[in-house]
Amino acid sequence: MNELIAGFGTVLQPEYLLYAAIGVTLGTFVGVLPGIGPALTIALLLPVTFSLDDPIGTFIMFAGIYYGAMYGGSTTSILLNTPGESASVATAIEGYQMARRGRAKAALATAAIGSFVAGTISTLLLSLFAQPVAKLATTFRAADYFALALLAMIAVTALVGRSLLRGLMSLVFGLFLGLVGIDGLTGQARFTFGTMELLEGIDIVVVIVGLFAIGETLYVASRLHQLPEHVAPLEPGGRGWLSRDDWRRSWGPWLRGTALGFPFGALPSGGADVPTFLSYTYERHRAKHKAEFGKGAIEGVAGPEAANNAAFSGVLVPLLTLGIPTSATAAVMLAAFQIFNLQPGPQLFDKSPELVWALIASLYVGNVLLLALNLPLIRVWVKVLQIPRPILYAGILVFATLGVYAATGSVNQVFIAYAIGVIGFGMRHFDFPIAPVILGLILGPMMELQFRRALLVSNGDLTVFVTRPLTATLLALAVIALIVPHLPRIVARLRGRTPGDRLVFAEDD
Amino acid sequence: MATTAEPEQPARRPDEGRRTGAIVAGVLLVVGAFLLWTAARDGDLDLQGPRLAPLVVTAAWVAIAAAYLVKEAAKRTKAEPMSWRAPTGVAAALVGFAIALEYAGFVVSAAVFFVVTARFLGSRNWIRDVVVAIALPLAIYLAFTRLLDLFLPAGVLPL
Repeated sequence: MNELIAGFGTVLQPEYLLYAAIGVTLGTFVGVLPGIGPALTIALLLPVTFSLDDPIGTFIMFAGIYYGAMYGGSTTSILLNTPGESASVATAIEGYQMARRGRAKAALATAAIGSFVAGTISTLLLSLFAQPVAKLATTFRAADYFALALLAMIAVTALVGRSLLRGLMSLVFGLFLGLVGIDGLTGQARFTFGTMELLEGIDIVVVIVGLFAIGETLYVASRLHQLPEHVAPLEPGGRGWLSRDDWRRSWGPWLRGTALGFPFGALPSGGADVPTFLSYTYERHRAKHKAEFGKGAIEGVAGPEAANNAAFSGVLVPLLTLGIPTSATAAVMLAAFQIFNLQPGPQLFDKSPELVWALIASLYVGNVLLLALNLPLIRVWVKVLQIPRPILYAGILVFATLGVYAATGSVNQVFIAYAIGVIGFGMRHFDFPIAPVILGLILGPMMELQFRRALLVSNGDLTVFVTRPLTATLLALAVIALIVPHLPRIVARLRGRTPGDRLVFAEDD
Repeated sequence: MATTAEPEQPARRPDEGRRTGAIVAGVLLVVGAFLLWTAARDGDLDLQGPRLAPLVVTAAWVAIAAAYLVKEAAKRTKAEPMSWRAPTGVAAALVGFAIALEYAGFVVSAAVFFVVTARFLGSRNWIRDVVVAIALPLAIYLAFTRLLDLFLPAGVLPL
């Protein structure tokens, strides 16, 4: 508790408050832009941090960017019906319908206040759970880390997206990208094809910028005429965000969304996608006004938005305490830690407690700032939404090229990013999910390292992966994660009915 | 994947999606096989060595691509409508941008790239595009080099 108070002491200094304010403003601005999510925002801003020598300020800013990007994303979903990431799909369904019926302000308000409630409660949970989990994690051995990384990868791939095969293909591609370069333990070159450029490996920034910025823009270019252009108008007048009835219908979904979002975020299940859809489905199931769902039910905005925000604090639990990212954005955050030579994991709480607790305290502050920024400035964000598409995407490409060049100082790396961008375009066109690539790239090398470490300790005895109960359990869970999406079909078959589609939580964008 | 020797018919649109899906899977399979061959050439199965992981990953690639090919070959899916002109144009502009970056400098190359790309993306407002194309790169250049001390190529402009 004292550490948290000390963290607040750090964050509330004017300099760090400024970092937090810059972060949430920048995050909201970029989050509002259609097609840009938090992972790309942070990846593009990584080069900016090279000249900052203050990790605390940088991470306060990143936390602000992440929260801001989520708030901004809900605005875009509600007013333009283009969810920037799959976690906002549920919001887009009901929120856009509300906006079309002249209830845009109520939808925006329930999203913003719900995010605030969920963010605050889940940050409180993070403050309570982080240290005990980190303590527990000190007992983890190499074999456990191997199993955990495998579970995180498989769970994300299996639970998100429409096709398991396509998800696995994306994952394997990410694992391959992670192998390129010099092997850390023996210094041998792998998949460099005799070039010098590939010896250093493929940087995560290059991959993220390629897949998310270049790939997305090429994809947009290929379907220019099918994009929604119409921004739903706000009702005139400065007052009347939420009526008494709206409050009454919103608070339950907010709390239930939080209760779903935090644990699902903390478990290796792919971040916010699963809990937002569970929340949406649950609210529809228990609602009194079932007929309203699909036509703008406020519960369908309040619940998923709360789940989305709560999941972010949940994702920070495995990231900070184990060093395991469970979503694409968490993977970029991990890359940011590594730029500052910080390794998230149990030791982080011992080695740099001031950073960890300042980061956690900044989440509380960021939430308050966002609530203060979001609704009063809504007309500014609507203006941002109206930036013409050609200008917007040409600008994104300039920033993407600049980001890669500034991060690597090499035109060849820019070309690698472009090549990955073309692959990313193909992946979008043929409906391959993107997130597994990022997780494979980050978790693959980690897995290999822990695998070899575990065998080093056991003198090459493979049974080390099944004799420890914890390792065996984690590996068993990874197998179960592969089967779960097929359960409805298997059950249907056992009962002799015609098999339906596999269970899908999220439409992958 | 391979089309049989049936005569060319104009009414083959439902087939198109099926073929693309299978072709994608086929390309993935070929690339995977090449990578597996690369990994196997100097591969050894030492559990703690650096050659095992490439073998495992590329073997998994081949297996998944093969399964995907089988699945796609049996399925008829409709292809998403798309135009090739804009994405190829943008990709060509990107290549030009990267080549020009270190010779012409960031500001000039970005400005030209911006105008060309906006055009490909459907903009028909020359004046607006040119104004943004000059102002944005210039502002970025000054912010990065003066405020953040990062290096960007100055090129032909005396900045």
